[in-house]
Amino acid sequence: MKALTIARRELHAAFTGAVGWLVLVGFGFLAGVFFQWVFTAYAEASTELVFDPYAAQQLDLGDHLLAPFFGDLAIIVVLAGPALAMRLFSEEYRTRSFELLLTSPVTTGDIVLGKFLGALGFAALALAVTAVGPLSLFWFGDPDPGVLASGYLGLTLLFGAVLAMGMCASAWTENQIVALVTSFSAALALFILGMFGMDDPDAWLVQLAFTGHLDDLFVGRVGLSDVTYFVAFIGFFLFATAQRIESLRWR
Amino acid sequence: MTSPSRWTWLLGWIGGLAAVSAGLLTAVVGSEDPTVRQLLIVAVVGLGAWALLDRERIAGQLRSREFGLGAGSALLIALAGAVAVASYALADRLERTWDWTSNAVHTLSDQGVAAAAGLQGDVEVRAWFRPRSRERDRVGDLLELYGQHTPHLKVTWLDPLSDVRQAEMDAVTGLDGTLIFRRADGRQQRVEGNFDEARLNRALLMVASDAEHTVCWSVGHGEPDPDDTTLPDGAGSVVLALEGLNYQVRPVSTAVDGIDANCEVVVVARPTTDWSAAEREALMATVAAGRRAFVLIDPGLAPNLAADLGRMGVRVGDDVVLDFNAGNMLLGVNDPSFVVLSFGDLMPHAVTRDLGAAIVLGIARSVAWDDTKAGAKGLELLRTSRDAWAETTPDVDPVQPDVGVDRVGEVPVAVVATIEDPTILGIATRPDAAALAAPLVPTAADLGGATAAVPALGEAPAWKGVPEGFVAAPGGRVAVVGDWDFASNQYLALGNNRDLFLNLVAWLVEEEDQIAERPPEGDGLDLTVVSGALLALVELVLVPGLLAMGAVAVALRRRRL
Repeated sequence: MKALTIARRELHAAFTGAVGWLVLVGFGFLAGVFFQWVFTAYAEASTELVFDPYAAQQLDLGDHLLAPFFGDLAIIVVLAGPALAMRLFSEEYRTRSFELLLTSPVTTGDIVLGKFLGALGFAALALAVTAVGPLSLFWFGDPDPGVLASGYLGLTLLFGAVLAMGMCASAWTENQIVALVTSFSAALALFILGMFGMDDPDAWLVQLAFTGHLDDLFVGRVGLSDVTYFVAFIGFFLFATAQRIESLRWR
Repeated sequence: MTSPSRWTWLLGWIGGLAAVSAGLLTAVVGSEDPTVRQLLIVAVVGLGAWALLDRERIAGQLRSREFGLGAGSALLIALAGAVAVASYALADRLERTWDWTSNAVHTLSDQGVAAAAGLQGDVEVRAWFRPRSRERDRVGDLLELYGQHTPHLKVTWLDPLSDVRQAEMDAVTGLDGTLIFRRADGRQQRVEGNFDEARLNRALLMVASDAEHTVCWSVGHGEPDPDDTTLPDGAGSVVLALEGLNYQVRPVSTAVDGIDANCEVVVVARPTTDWSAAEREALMATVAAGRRAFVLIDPGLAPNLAADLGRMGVRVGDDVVLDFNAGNMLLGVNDPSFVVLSFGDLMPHAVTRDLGAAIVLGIARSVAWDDTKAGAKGLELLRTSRDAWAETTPDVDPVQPDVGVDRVGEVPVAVVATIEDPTILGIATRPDAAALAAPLVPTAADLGGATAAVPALGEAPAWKGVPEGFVAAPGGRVAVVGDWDFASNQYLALGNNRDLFLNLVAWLVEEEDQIAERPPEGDGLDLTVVSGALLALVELVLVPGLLAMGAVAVALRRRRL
């Protein structure tokens, strides 16, 4: 319950300044550009393929429009996640408000979970802004709502994973830039790591990377292992963050 | 002078960095790489030197309260990591997935499940694909789905550019992907080009089946050469496609050899000269005996054969189908004698179940089913659009439908029929049955004129029309298409032509389970220039603009405060 109060406070804080709004503007605009890109490519392909009935039959909005769009959004998430997470604890350290938080009647778990949920709430709003394009497809065609749902589930889980990792980095340093660079490097590495082992889908590098667990989610197939990967990833970094905060109590 | 202990931490960092680099390098290129060994040496030397030089400070840290608590914390974090990895490994082992798509495109059809579950012995799948190709991913997903229903599928991924010698042995010539399903006894099926579930199901069923089907390809009447894979009009491609599915295809000179009982299906492909009365009788006898005939007959050719098909209830028109469908014009087909059939033109039937794309026929004639025919059950499988008609006088200008003569709108061009009562074919009761009983000498016309080998006078072999010991049996099947071109080398790859031909043969030999459900159709976009621009405006201007207004409003409010 106290975690939710902290989450609400975090979310509210994001919109009391112009920065939160501007982040949404950037997120929405970039998503719009990416959507226009894949949308135009799909429209052109579907026009050209009237001469190739077999290929036209293979062309579907899920695999050939939504999945590439989700893939593009994932890049934005990897870029934006660390930036959103970098201030979660570093800012508190810098402004010396963290001691106040530690002495308040909340547990370490409440603090960590509250801050994470607040950031994730903001991330969910950012993702909602990007949904304008995909939802407009119901006007132009017949997209699969299941693919939309699983795609956004994948993006939310990715956002959660990047935020949890960024929050952990933020908990270790009061320098926001250090937190940003550390978590961004790690997120980017996890994003591109899968490319080294793509010859073998069971290679541990593929298993470790984000991308290998997003491909299926982006086309409407929800795998238990993919969801577990992200949940375990988030859980691990939240726990590591809590341990770090706990260590500050006894220092 | 600077104290050496002031910079000893640098050694520790170098050693640590080398250790991490060695770990990463091992993961990427393996531990055999000499650089890994060099990095490990640097790590050991660096960390060792640091520990040696900075031992007092390290010992002090180790004895501190912070280190004790920190070590406990680190242990807990490591434990949490282990729990996370174990949870993932368990979930991965369970291999549970949910298909959220409304068409269940990531789930095997019932036929796919049955095909996989029906495998009795091990089947090696040699998958020849370029790494990281989209097609490889798709096929990999499908094979994974099959693998969930059978332990007998052993997949080996091969790269045609890396394993050149093996590729040659498997006759893999392209980079577009080849799948070879191979049983231990060597029986195999190949899938090339398109890798949808229907094709994979068919290949699995065929490789698992021990059934052998013999297709007799009639020759001697100017038919397309079954061995010719190069000329546009040849039949080599379609014969290869049949052989790829384990059909035994052999040419049969019906005039000389008759039609023997081993011919499960007789293919009569575009005879340019007519069949003799005796051969026609042999064809009827084949169907009356419960076997099958597949006739592809172009406009104006083989009038006697065309007329005789009426005995089975199939009415072959003496006409040319002209289709002025606007959709065809949009497809770039400006010649109305080319008939392009789309989804709506295919009647519901086992043959058309998996035909999602168009069928392209060359110059076709009408083939209709006679509803009044008792003792047989037929269906007009393919019908043109409403904008077509069957022109009976194509040489007379102006070319337009002759009212009351030409059939106008939705002209049928293919019929499938099952003979329930073989007596309707009149094999035993025909007036010339007595003549048929005696050995006949076919005339040159009967043998197909100049294109057939005419026996020398005095050496005429006994004609083998209705075979001796002919016994009528119900269940004979016949498929008649008013066009050959769709199966020719030139047109076979267009649309679903290849699948139409193979499905017809599969239906004729009663292997309907080789024909999978129709795959979902592609998604089009109902897009205009205005609606596209409107979407761009909303996405790139309106939504970001509204959010920017929120930012401005907040900034102004804060300034007022």
